[in-house]
Amino acid sequence: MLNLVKFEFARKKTTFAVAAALTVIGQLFVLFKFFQLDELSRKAAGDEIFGIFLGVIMVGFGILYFIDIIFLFRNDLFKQEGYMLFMTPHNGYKILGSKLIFGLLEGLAIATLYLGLLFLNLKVMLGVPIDFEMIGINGVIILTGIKGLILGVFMLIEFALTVYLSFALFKSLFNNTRFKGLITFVIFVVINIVKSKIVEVIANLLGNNFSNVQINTSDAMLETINTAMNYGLIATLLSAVVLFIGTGYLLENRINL
Amino acid sequence: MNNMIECINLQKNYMSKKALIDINLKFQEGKIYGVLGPNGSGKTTLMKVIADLHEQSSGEIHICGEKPSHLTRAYVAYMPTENFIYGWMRVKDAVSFYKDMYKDFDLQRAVDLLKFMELDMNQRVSSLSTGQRARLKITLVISRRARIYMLDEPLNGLDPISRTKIKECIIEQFNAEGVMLISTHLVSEIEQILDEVVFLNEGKVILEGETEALRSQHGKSLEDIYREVFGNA
Amino acid sequence: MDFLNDTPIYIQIMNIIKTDIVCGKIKKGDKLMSTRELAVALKVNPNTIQRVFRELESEEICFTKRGMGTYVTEDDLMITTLKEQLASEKIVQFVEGMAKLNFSIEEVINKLKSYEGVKNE
Repeated sequence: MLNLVKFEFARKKTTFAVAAALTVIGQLFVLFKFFQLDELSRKAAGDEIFGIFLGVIMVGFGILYFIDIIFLFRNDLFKQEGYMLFMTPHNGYKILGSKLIFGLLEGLAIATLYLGLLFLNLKVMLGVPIDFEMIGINGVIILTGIKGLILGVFMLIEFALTVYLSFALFKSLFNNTRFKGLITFVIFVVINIVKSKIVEVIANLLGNNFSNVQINTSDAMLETINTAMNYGLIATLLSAVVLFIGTGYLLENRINL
Repeated sequence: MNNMIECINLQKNYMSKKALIDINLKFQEGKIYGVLGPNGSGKTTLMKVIADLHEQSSGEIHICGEKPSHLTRAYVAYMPTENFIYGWMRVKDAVSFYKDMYKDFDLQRAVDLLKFMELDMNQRVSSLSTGQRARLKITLVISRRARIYMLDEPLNGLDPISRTKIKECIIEQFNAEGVMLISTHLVSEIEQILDEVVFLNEGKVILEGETEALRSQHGKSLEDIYREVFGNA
Repeated sequence: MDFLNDTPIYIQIMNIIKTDIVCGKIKKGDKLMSTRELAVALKVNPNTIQRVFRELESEEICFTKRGMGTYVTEDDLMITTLKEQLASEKIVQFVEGMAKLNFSIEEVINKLKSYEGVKNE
């Protein structure tokens, strides 16, 4: 498994290098612009530049990341080069798993990079010292934050797997006909419809607890969020597992590469 | 003598055609088999099904007694016609990929073969000529000490020097405990190397036997028999 | 190496080796190339070479020393016999070929004599 993940990294060498270079250039450019302004304008413009820069980077990274996740699987499944990977003595589940692990690691790297840029620019442009007490953080909030993070990761995996399953279904049912993108997208939509139907059914079974929302105190709000997240965690995890098994099964037994 | 590969009532259907129809074949160890036939006869499909890249529709395949799976891929070395090496790689990346992924990969042999094939470790795969790519493909596959080798059209589109190098490579690696299947429609180039042949046409086996026996029987070269069987294919 | 279609390849290779032995290209007691080397050199299946060696051994023209290789016989009588055998085969081929062209044996002998005469001039 490790060498599969290693391979995914090796593949992306140039892309990473280019992305890193562009980020550095972008950062330097922005800093340059910032320090060109005189002391007074800096305060005012600082917010703008900071906001735009970090905003653009967030959107940019985000989009590229999502596209990357999609093509991670798509390329090997549909291009001749992919044979090299699929001829190896690793079963479909392992290959799938290694791609997910790589995707997560890549996401982690991007998130870290982004946070780094965030703090750097906060300091430089806005002169804001990082003081956690200011934001009134306590244990519960941290826990919720962590849960939120984990939920985010689960949702990411689940999203990726939904896309991968769509590709796998296309390949097993339609093999190499035309309109690949269109049909795959339709399959993707269908899967999502199925998922929401299942959620509806289960929600009805559990008796509609979600309609009671208390907005009295902020503590109760936190509690509600936590509960919702718990359900979310379980649901997303289950969904991801089902999708993973489904895609892996198709890969091993039903797809003619 | 062991049957390393056995196909029993093998069928493979695609949406648009029946690629393999009722195939019953045995491949024994220590031999080099030719799988001959025109384009579309099922040669590639047969190999891909044995290599566990495609799923058979019905029938059985036994590879050293096991069903094709990711486990059999560990000792079956398949060389497809497709350009299966990642374009972003350099030759050394492809070699190190094979070394990582296949336990039976012999690095020293690969290095020696690359020299013999006049390929440089630092070349980009995307900048290799057709002949060079083919030589790289076969180097990677044959550097594995596999039990079963399947080469799909190894000589196609190659200059005479590349063809000779590849043929020598094939003979050199011959191993009495292994089996090799070579598919081609360039029969004259390869008939001297084949112990036995299987002729496929439209998914069916229409002729099989020992090369020498067929040559004596028909009093012709294998290529002439091929022409006779497939009528100016 | 190109082979003819009318005879099994292993027999053709055997003839090449036999001829080489008789004309001295391969000396008695010499070690022959290994199965693999010969197969690569001639571009044939190693099993074919194995058969060649087996047949040569059964005709006592060669013998195998386990772990060391295949060697030509040291027996002079064997080699002389081989020479005679190959010569007879060539003569049969020649005479039959000429007979097909409707030459009688006397005509053939005369032709051979005049060929020899021309050669000596």
